[in-house]
Amino acid sequence: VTPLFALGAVAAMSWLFRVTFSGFVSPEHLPSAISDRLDALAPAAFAALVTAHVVGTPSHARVTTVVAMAAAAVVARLTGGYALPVLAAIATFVGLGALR
Amino acid sequence: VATTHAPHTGAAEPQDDAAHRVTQQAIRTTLPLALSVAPFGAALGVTMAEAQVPAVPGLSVTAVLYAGSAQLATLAALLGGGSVLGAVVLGVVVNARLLLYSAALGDRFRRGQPRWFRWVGPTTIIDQTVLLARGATGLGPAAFRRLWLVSGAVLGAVWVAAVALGARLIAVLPATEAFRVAAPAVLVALVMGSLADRRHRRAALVASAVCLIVAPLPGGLGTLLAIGAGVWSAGPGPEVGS
Repeated sequence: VTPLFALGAVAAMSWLFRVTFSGFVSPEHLPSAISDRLDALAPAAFAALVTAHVVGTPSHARVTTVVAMAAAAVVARLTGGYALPVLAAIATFVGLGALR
Repeated sequence: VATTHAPHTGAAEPQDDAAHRVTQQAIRTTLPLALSVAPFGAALGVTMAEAQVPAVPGLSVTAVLYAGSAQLATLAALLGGGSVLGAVVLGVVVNARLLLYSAALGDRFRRGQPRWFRWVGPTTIIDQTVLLARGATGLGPAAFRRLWLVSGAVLGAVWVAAVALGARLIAVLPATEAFRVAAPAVLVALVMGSLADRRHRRAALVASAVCLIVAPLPGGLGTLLAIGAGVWSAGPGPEVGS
């Protein structure tokens, strides 16, 4: 019950975050200094999340994770898709792990 | 094809064709993305089983929460012996970026949309769907609504199925640690697809660099600061129409 309660509370707060600027407040009320920059939000968020994941990886797996992310980046650059980069990252992670 | 058939069957036919095309486009765009996050979903299912979350309520809350990283962070905090309040705060902070996404997409859910869509549509705002929405420029309100709802349903169905599979296969899944690179690998692919603009490259670089320094801050606060620094460094975008 405890994990379910915690997850339910997070879900409720997340929904409030999601509907804030569609249900409660118009985005037009945002200062222009913020709204003019929001198109850059996605790349900034994705890059920060990847970096946070790498930094948060236990030290014994950090190099392997960085190489796996690099493999994903190269495959994403070459193919433009999502599935192959994920497979490349998992394969690289497993392969390097087997070599150690 | 639509205009060829229109004179024989009335005006509804081209609209049906257009709606059908949008649905197909939504499935075609979302399915590879959904399949690529499936390994992360399986890893989350394993964690849910480890935390002894009951299957049906657990999958229900997975569908409602619709955010793997926050769910994983909350469960990991509980499994690590943390308090319920601490775990909830951690999950909420991890998902605080949804507020920024809401600001970025708010107009798409308001302008020309029915009232219910303002409240229901954003339920599926997440990193991946934000990029899908960014790529859906030029669509009218009805077409965007259809694209968004179909994409959200496809992504959600695959996501919940993957979590369920992970929870069922906990005993036989090999190398679950490897599955944990699936989520950041999807994000890497998303980053690579969003760097066409120089401002966006600068935002990604600055966010990464700042995150290297501040990521250890508790509760995901460092990630939020890094995102803010990246967005700020991009500078104002070009004027509409310029």
